[in-house]
Amino acid sequence: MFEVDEVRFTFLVFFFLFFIFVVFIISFITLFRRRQNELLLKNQLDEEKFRNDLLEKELEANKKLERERERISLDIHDDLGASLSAIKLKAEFIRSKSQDNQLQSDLSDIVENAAEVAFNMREMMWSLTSENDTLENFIIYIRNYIVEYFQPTQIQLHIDIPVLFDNFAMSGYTRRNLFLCVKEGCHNILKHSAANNVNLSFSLHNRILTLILADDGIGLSDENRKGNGLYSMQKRIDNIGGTISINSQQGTKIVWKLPI
Amino acid sequence: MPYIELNSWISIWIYRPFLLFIFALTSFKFFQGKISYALFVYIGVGFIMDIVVKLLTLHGVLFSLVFQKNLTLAYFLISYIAFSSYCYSQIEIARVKKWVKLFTALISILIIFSILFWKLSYTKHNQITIELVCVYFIITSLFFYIDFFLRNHIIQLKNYAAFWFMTGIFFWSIFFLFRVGAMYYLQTYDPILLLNITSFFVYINLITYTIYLKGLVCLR
Repeated sequence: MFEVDEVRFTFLVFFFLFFIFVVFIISFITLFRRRQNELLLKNQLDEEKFRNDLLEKELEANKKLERERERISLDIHDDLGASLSAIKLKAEFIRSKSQDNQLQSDLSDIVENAAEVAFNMREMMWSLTSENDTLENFIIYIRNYIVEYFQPTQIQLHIDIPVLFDNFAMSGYTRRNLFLCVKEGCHNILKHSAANNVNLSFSLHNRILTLILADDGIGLSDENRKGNGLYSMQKRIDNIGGTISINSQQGTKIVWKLPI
Repeated sequence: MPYIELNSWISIWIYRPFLLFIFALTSFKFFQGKISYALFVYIGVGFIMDIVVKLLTLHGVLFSLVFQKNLTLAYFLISYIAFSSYCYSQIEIARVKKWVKLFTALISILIIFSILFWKLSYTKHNQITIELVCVYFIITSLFFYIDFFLRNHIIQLKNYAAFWFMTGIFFWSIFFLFRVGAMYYLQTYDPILLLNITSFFVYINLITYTIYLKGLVCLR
C-alpha cells in the first residue's frame, strides 16, 4: 500500500507542473491572440491603403484617358471637321456653277456624303467627350437626334421622358453603342415600316434603363428579321451588357434594357 | 477503490482502449494522406510501447531487464527522430528553423555521447539519453511556439493541428522529465514514491492523447 504522504507529494508535484503548463499555455494563447488582432488590424489597414492606391491609380488612368479622348475629339473637330466643311462648300460651289446634269448629280452625292460623314464625326466626338458621360446627356442627345431625324418626314413623333433622372454615369462606349442601336431602329422605321406614328420612351427602375421604340407600321417581315441591322443591334447591346426584345404584332416594338 | 487499483483500472479500461482508438484514427488519417509519416511513426511507437509490449508481458512473455532498457531507449530514439522531423517540417520562419537545426545537432551529439557513456559505465543506464530527449521535446516545442507567435499571417489557433500536437508533446515532456529525472534516485531511496508517480502517469498520458485527439480532429 502507498503511504498517504507519498500520494500527497505526488499530487502536489504533478499539480505544480500542471499549473506551470496551464499558465504557460494561457499566457501564450493570450499573447498570440493579441498579436493576431494586431496583425488583423495591420492587414486591414494595408488592404485599405492598397485599395486607395489602386483607386487613385485608376482615377489617374481615367483622367489620362479622358484627356486623350478630348484631344482626339478636338483634333477631329478642328482638322477633319474643317476639311469636310471645305469639301462640302467647294462641291456646292462647283455644283452651282456647273451646267452638266450628271456632274451636278455627282456633286450632290459628294455633298450628301460629306454631310453624312460630318454627322458621324459629330456623333463620334459626342461619344468621346467625357463631359457627356451621363445618362441625362445621352437622353438629350437621343431626343435631339430623333426629332431631327423624323422632322422632314410625315411620321408623328411622341417622346416620353420622365421629368427627373438621377445623373448616372454612362461611358462613351455604352452611349455610342446604345445610340447606334436606336439609330438603326429609326432607320428601319423610315425605310421599312410605313408607320404614321413613332413612340420613344425612357424609364429607369432599380438602375435598369429601359428604352422603347415603337411604331404603328406593318411590322417586321421575315426578310427584315434576318437582316444585318437586327443582328448588329443584338451584338451591340450584348457588348454593353444589355438585352433587346422585339415584338412585331401590331407595328414593331423594340425594347432595350441596360443596367446603369 | 484504493489508489493503485483505481489507476490500474483506468489504465486497462480507459487509457488502453483510448490509445487504441487514437492509433486507429492516426492510421486512418495517415492512409488518407492527411498526416505526415513522422507523426504516424511517433504515435505508432507510443502505441507499440504502451499496448503491444504491455500485452505481451501480461500474456507471460518475459523480457530481460537489458532488453526492456534497450527497448525503452529504442522507443525514445525513434520518437526523437520522428518528432524532430515533424517539428522541423512545422516551423516556417527560416531563423527559427536554423536554431532548431543547431539545437538538434547539439542534442544528437549529446545523445550519442550519452549512449556511449551508458554502455561504458552501465550505472546510469539510459536515464541521461531519455532526459536529453525530453529536454529536446520541451525546447523544440518552445521553438515552435516562438515560430508560431512570430508568423505574419492570420491563424485559427483552435483549428491548427500542429499547435495541438506540439502542446501535447510539450505537456507530456514536462511531466516525463520530472518522472525520469527522479527515477534512479527514488529507485534507491524511495521506491514507493516512484511507483506512485509511475502509476499516476496514466492520467498524464490520457490528457496527452486527448490533446492529440483534438489535433487529429482538426485534420479534415
